[in-house]
Amino acid sequence: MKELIRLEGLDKVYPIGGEDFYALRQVNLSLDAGEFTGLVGPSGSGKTTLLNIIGALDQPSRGTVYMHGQPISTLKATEAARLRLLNFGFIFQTYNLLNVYTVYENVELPLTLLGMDNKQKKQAVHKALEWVGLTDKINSKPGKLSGGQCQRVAIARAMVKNPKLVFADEPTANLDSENSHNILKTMAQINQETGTTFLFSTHDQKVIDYLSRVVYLKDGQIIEEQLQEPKR
Amino acid sequence: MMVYKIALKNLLSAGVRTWLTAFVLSLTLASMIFLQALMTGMLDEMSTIRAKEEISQGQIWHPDYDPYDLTQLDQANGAAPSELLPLITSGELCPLLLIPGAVYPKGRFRNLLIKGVDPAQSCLDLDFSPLGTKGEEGLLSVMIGARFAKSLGLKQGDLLTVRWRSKAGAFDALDAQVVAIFHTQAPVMDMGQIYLSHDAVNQMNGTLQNSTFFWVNGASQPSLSSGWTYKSFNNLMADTLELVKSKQAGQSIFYGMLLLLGLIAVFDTQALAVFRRKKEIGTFMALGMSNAKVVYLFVVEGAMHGVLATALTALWAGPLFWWASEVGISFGEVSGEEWGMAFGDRFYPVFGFVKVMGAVLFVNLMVVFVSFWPTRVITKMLPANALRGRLS
Repeated sequence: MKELIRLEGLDKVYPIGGEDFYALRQVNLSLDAGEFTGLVGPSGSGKTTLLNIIGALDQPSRGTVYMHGQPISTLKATEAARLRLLNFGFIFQTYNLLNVYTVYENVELPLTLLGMDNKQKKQAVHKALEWVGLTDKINSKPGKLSGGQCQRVAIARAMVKNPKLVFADEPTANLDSENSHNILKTMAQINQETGTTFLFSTHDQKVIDYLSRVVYLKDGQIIEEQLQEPKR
Repeated sequence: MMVYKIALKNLLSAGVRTWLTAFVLSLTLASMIFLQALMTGMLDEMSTIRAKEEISQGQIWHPDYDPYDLTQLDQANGAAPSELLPLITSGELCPLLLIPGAVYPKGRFRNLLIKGVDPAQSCLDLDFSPLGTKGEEGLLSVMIGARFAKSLGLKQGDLLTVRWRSKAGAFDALDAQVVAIFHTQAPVMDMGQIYLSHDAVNQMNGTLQNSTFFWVNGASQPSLSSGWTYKSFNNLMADTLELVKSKQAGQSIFYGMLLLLGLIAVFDTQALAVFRRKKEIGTFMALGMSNAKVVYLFVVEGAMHGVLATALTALWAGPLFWWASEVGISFGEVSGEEWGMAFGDRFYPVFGFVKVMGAVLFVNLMVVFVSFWPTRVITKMLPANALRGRLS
């Protein structure tokens, strides 16, 4: 498969009380297009930090992130925003939906930022909501939805613009077992149907079971990588 | 368009907080507009009254006339220069002769100015025609303003002794009768003066057709070559304009304080919003919105407080202002007489388009400015930190 992301010598250092704390230390990793990969490790292992740096939400202290061979970790704020807009989708642990917006408007937002016309937006939003099975909640506000439904809206929002890479930061942390399986199934299905790359950050075994590749982190370092047959 | 939609939704979802902020701003805006309108109305009214009852459209002064030097007043008169005679005949100029004098109403003494006016004058909107008639038994006819008459305890028909000093320096006295009491809203034309006919005062002064100044009944400036000086209406209104200017300075302190309150409310709302809505900001950034656009969103939200306040003001203050401009506002017992200014019992505020729009624009610009100030912090924010609820 074609390489999508490559990390070279990535360090993330926070100065704490006059000392340097390494959240990431010499991380090297390659991610191919279409992967369903997870960064797995205990709290404080650096998985969210790594996810954020790859997603151009944060900057490394040292090292470089490449996308299709082009460095993206040194982009200016405006260029990084454009990169995220065109290529990345994000799914957060706490959904991060806009409460004043309806389900439709939340999912529509990335397309509006892309400047898409209303007809195209409508088609794309309906398609994304069909994927996650929420077409009946189109006019509901997030406050009226369950946690599982909210996360499905977040998935639809991440997927609506057909991104190259979707980042999912602890997507099941606030969900019960049944809802977790439902949204994981949905994401796996999208991955298979569209070839969209997924990168998870998790320590949830349910998520790990769905992954085809697991990257284990500890104290900011990759300690093991493993390809596996997903248990879907 | 999207930014405006989001901003509007956020604004409305903030509920009471939004309305309170908008109300304080609305109060400020309404106060600014109203106080300006009141001042404009007052100035307009004073200009109208002074033009009609005191200044006319301008004046032509004797070379020695100085209204602030009463010691020279008896010398500050002369015959009209030849170039003015046709204008006097046609009624475009109306003569006034001023001499110092005193009256003895009911045995009491009171210094005053004796004013000689043409009973048929048409320069002022005051009727001096009773001065064309003689008092009982051929007594000198005198007219007095209502306030001065009240102060002297005189009424129509009363007798009084008038004493004066002629141009030659001789003192003389005559009995006179109050043939009419007139009403004027210009205090300068009332207190401390009596009116006699121009001819009578000239006779008392030992002169023929002398005048101290002429009222000009027209906008054009007559040509002068004899030392007499033309004073335009604006020139003669300068003291009033200065007074209004000083009042406006006092007002601006008042509405400056009100504006400060409104702006603090907007600043507070925006500053709080940036801290409270960091996660939302982070989400926008993660979705691909640039920092500049997020700042713009917050500034638009802040600016919408100004727009909302403007709409609120139009809604509650608009009808109130219209009513005030129609029926006027009474300040009870306070009147021009008490204030020594030329205006009536009611104030009629005048809401000029330019001034109203100026106030609206000023308040809205200030709101945009204070909205931008706290949101600058967003421009330094990394999306990851915003999502974690931290400021970088």
